[in-house]
Amino acid sequence: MLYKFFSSLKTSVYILAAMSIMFLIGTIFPQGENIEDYIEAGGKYVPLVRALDFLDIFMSPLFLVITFVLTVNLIICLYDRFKIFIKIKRRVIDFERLKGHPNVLSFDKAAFEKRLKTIGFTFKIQTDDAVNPGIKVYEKGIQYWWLSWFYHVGIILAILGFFVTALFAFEKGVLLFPGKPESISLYSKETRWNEFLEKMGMDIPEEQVRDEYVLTLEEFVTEYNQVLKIDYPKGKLERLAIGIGMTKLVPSPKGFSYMPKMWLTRFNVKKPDGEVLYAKLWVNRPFRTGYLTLYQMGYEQRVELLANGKVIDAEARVPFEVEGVNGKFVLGSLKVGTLFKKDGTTEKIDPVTTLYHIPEDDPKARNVLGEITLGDKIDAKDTAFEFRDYKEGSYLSYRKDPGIWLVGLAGLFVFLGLFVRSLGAWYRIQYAVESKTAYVLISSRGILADKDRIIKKLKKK
Amino acid sequence: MTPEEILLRDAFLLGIELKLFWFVTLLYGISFLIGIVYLISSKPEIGRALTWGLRITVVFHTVLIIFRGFEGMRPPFQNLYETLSWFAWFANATYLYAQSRWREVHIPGFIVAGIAMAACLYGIFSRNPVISPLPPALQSPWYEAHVIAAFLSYAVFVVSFAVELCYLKFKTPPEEPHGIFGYIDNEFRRWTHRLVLFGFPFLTFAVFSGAAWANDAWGRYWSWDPKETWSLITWTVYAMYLHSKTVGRWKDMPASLLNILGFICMIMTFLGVNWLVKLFGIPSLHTYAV
Ligand code: HEM
Repeated sequence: MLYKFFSSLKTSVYILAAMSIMFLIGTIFPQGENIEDYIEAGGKYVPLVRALDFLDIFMSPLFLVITFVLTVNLIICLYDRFKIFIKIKRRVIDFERLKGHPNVLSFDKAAFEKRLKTIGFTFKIQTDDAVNPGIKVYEKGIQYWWLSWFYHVGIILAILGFFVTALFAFEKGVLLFPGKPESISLYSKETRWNEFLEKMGMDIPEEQVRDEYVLTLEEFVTEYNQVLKIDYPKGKLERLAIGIGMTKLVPSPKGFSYMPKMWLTRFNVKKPDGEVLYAKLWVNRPFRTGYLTLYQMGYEQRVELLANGKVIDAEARVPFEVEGVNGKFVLGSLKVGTLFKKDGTTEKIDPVTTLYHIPEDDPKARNVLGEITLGDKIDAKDTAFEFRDYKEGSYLSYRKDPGIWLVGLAGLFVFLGLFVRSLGAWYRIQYAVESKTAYVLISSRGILADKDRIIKKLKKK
Repeated sequence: MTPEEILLRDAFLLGIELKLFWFVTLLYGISFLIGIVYLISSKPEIGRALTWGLRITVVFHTVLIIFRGFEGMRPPFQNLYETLSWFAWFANATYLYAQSRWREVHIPGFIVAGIAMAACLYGIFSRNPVISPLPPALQSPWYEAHVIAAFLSYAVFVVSFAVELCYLKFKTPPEEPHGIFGYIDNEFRRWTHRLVLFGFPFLTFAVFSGAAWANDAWGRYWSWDPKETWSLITWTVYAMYLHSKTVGRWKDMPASLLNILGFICMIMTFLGVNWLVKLFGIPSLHTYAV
């Protein structure tokens, strides 16, 4: 009974429906938030949200149960179909039904079988019947049920991979400045698995020397593209006016602007066994060694300013104060590195940033005081500012995720199966011969399957 | 060329492109209107005019996409402005391919024209067309593959949706196979399944390549943000649709409803959930990047 329930495709549709509803809830309720904050913000349905863990739905018992049921459903389904496929118990039609089938085709018996073979069909089985002619089955292409079996296995692997990630993966960040080695560990106490062990009153493994890596920044590089500035209007009617040629699109009087092209970090990694690797990474190009993966997340820029003779170590985009001056100041992002120009040339950028003033009574405002280049001075708000020096730190994140290879493998399974199944072509021909006629029934699967072409080929003399 | 000359040239080319884009949008609009007239009059010549309208549009639209590629000297599928256009083009091209296999059925064309026009208008009004290099986070082959596969699958699902709606509304009774809008029979309807079967692997690839991209860029392949989750909902609903097609009693109405639901979910992936959140009165503590 239970086996029948779990091997049924209908059950899977219901489970998938339940799954979608969970996903939907996950998009509506703010995930990862604290229930107290939620209540404070005026959140509704609090008892329900609390009872069913709507703020962490993808780790809630309900979701886990549904996922588990889906997995069981998949496994039983796969086992069930595996048994069927192995025995190739795919029912062959009987002669009477074949002959009376609305889609049956008749061919001249002569050389029919030979022609089948020449266009790539292979013989599968033949049935025996005491009264009627036996049916022969021929096929061409990869048997689609194996393909669909294959991608369903992929789905199980993906669920497993997600689960391993959820239990064991962790990620942390590290900020590297030149000449200041930082050590990081490939072990974290804060994985869900360790939290679970702790809850159960068990000991969590301690961090060990073999988990430790030392990173030293050698160089952090920023590159910019020169970007075209065109004043494209925001209003719908103004846009329409351009579209119908009433107004012309013109370059902005400001000319060009800068846009980040790449951030790149060169560094070395001392592995737990003492080996030192020289490495570089950039956005979208992480660095991997063993279980460790490092990513370029961002950067930190610090500017040394002299303000009325006093040294200030200011971080870009973080407000700072100057003694005796009202309000606050803030520096924009520092532009430094290489500029890739529109005409194909490159140029070294003189380190430059913008100084803003934030009035006391309007903390959101940013009033431009001027641009300031390395070594230059500006006077503003009764203060003499001098840009003396700067340094850039690279912000990396690192992660250990033992589930990732499973998910990757799952992806491979799912695609190969899905693409070949959906886009490929599989044909099955069942036929029987009575006197001079071959009665033929053709079935096919896959987008590229073209029955008419097969029929034409079979008819060709 | 000096940078200033390049600036002038680029502004000039962009001006041409925008005119062409507006023109293509207008052609979709005209096709859509012809479709409405066809719907009201059900005259076969008008149906043919609708298909011809879409054929002419696909030619100009192809020119537009090639022009954009030439302008930026890169494949023109890199931001939402470009992909909306590509989505409309692909929906139209897929429709015309399928239509060439039907006997005298033109009516789904007006739905496809309407959606293609809406996509173009959305691109024109809500996005900035100026060609700029990709920011570092988007510079990944996974990202490009992701965008192309996603919009390709969406375009195919649009056509499946249009076919499904027309089947439900105008299917001809078995005794008179040729109805007022042509042979809207079971053979015609099989295209809904065929199209979803074609689109589904691409949608799967889109989800996977999105995850692979996130994994390279941030080290986390899945973070359950609403957009990701909506794409998973869409994917699950289409999986349900495909399953329902293999269950005897669910092949008809339930499958049709799932196909339509899949389309609605796909639109939700675009438009985001903010309004839904408001509808339920849920405070959204995050600011989602929709
Ligand atoms: C996340 C879960 C699942 C996904 C995404 C999924 C996906 C798919 C897809 C895309 C197809 C069909 C395309 C086709 O070949 O026509 C399919 C067919 C099928 N699925 Fe699933 N499936 C899932 C779970 C299950 C489960 C739990 C079962 C077990 C009952 C199952 C059994 C089948 C069967 C028997 C077919 C028909 C075989 C075929 O025609 O290829 N699926 N599935």
